[in-house]
Amino acid sequence: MNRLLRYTRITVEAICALLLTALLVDYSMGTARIAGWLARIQFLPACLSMSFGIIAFWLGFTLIFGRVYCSTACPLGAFQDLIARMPSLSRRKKPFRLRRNYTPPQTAVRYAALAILAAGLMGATFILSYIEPYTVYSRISVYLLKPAYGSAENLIADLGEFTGLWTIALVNVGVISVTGIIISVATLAIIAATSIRHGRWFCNTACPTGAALGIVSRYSIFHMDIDTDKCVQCRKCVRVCKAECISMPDHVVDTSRCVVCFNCVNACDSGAITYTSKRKQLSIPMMQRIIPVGSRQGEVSAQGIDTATKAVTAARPMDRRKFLTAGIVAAASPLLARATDKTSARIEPLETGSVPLVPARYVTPPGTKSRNEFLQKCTGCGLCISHCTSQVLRPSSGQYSYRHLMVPVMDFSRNWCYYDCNRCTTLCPTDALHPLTRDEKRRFVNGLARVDAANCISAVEGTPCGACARRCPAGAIAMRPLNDTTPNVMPVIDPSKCIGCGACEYICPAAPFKAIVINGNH
Amino acid sequence: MTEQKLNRRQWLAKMTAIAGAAIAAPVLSGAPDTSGCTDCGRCMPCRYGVDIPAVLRFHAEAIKNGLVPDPSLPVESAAYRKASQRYLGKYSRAITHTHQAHRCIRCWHCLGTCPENIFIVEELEKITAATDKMREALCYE
Repeated sequence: MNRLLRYTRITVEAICALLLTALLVDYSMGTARIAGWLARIQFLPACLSMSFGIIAFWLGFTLIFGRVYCSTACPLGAFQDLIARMPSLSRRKKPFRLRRNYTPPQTAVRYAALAILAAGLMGATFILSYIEPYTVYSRISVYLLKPAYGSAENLIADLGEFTGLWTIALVNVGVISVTGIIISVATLAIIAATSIRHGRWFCNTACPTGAALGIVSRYSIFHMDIDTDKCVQCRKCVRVCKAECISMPDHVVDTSRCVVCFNCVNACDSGAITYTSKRKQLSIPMMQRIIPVGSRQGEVSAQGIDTATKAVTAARPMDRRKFLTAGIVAAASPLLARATDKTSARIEPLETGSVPLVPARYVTPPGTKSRNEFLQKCTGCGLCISHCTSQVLRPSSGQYSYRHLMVPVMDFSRNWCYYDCNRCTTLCPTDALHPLTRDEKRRFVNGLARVDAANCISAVEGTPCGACARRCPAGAIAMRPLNDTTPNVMPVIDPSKCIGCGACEYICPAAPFKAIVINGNH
Repeated sequence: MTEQKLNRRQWLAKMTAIAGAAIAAPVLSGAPDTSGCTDCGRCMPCRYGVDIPAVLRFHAEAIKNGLVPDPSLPVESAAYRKASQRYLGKYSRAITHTHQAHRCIRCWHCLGTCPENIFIVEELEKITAATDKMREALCYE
C-alpha cells in the first residue's frame, strides 16, 4: 500500500512534468491540445487568470491531502526531484539523497515569499515571476531546452533527407535570447545547487506557491504521522525526507513543509510513519504556536521544546514585522508603477521628421485588454513565445521597462504578426492574453502604424516603392502624393483599418531606421 | 480514331487549348515552371537585399523535387500545411528572411538585366504570393 502510494506519486509526477515540458518545447498544436490544461491548472497562473474553481480545488485538495500539488502538478518540483537524484546515480556508494537531515523552517523568508505572492496578485508580478515555480521552469525549458530540442529535431530531419528514409519539416529552433539565457542559467544554477544540497529547500523557503499552500497544509486532514510506539528511531525517514521536515528526536513532521512524496513511508521498516488522518503527534505549526510563558531560546521547558519550535520562537517576533513591512512595500509598488506609467503615456516622443524612428510604446501581443493589465498579469513564462507561428514574439529585454523583463514583445524586425494566427491568445495560462477566435484576432488592434516621410524612400527619392501598402493585410495603407509640387508618394494610414500587425514595419526597406513603425496600445 | 474525324479547324482549337493549359498551368499554380536562371549575377546587386539568383534557383529546385505544396489543396488542410512547413523550413534555411523574395519592392532596377530574359519582378511576385499562402497555412494548425 505504502509502496503503491509512492509509485503512483512518481508516475503522476513524471507524466505531468513530461507533458508540460513537451508543451513548452514542442511547437506542434497537437501537444498544445493534449497538454495545454496542465499550464492552466498551475496555482499561480490560475490565481492570475481568476480561475476560482481551480484555486478552490487546489486549496481544498491541500486541506484534505496536504501539499500533493508540490509533488504532482508542479513541474519545478519534479525537476528538483530529478536533479536531486542525479548525484546518487553517479556515486552509488555515497548517495547525496541519503544525507538529508532536519532543517529548521525559514519562516521569515516564507512570509516574505507570501508577501510577494500577495503583491503579485495586486499587480506587481515582476518580482513574483523570478521565484514562481511554473514560470521558473518554463523559462528554463523555453530558453535553454527548446533550442537544444529544436536542433535535435532538425538534425533528425536532415538525417532523414540524407538517407532518404523519412521526411520531416524543419522546425524553428526557438528564440535565442541573451536575457533569457542569462536569467534561466542563473535560476537553474540556484535550483540545482539547492536541490542537490537540501532537496526541496526552494519549495519550502522561496516559493510563494509553497508558502501559500503551506499555510493550508498545516491543517491538512491526511498527513504523515509517526507512531512513537512503533518507531525505533533509526532516522531512515529523516534521511530520505527531501523537504527536510521530519524532526526526529521529537517524532514531529512539519506538515506545512511536507510535500507528501511518501518517501518516508516507503523507507520506514517498522511501519511507524504512516499517511493517516489520525494525529498521534502535534505537527509544527507554520504560523502560530503558543509558547509557554517564561520559556526562552536555549531554555528547556517542562514539555521539552524541540529544536524546531525554538527556531520558530526565535524567528517569530521578527518575521511578523518583516511580513508587514514587506507587504506594505509590495502593495505600494504597483501603485508607484502605475503612476510612472501614466507620466510616460502623456509624452509623445514621435515627431514627424525625426529620423531615428522608434515606437513610442512597444507593441504587446494580441489579446491584451490594456498595457497595464497585461504587464500586471504576465509572468513572462514564455509559452506564447515558444508557440509563436511567425516568431515575432520575443522576450523583452528592457522594451517595457527594467522591471518587466522576459515579457513577450513584438519584434517587427524579425517578422510580422500573421493575420490568421491566434495561437498565443489561446495558450496563455494567466489570461494576460485573452483568448480570441480567428475572426476576433483578424479584427484585433495591436497598435497603430505611424509614418515618417523623412525616412520613406518613395517620398524622399521618388522610388515607386509602396511595399507597405501592398503587404498590408487590412488594406489600411494608401500611397498618396506628398504634396502638389512633386510626383513623389508617401504611405497614408487609415487609422480605422490599421490593426498594427507590423507587416508594413517589417517590409519597409528604409534603413537603419524604418519609415513606418507601429506604436503599441496604451 | 477520333483524331482522324477532327477537321483542321477543330484540331487547331484542341491544340491551342492544350498549349494554353500548358502555358497557363504554372501561372495558375502561382509558381514559375522553371527559372532558367544561370546564376550569372547580372541582376545583382539588388538594393533591397533580394538574392535574386538564389531565390529563383531555390524555387525551381523546389518545384523539381516536388517540395511546393499542391495549390489545389485548401489552405486549411493538414496536407497543405505540412507541405508548407517543409517548404518554408528549407526556404528560410537556404535564404535568410532579409534576402527572400518578398523583400522585392518592385523598383524595376533589375529590368532588362537578365540575359535569359527572365521577367524577374514578376517571378519574385509569384514566389511571394506562393510563400504568403504557405505562411497563411501555418496559422491553421
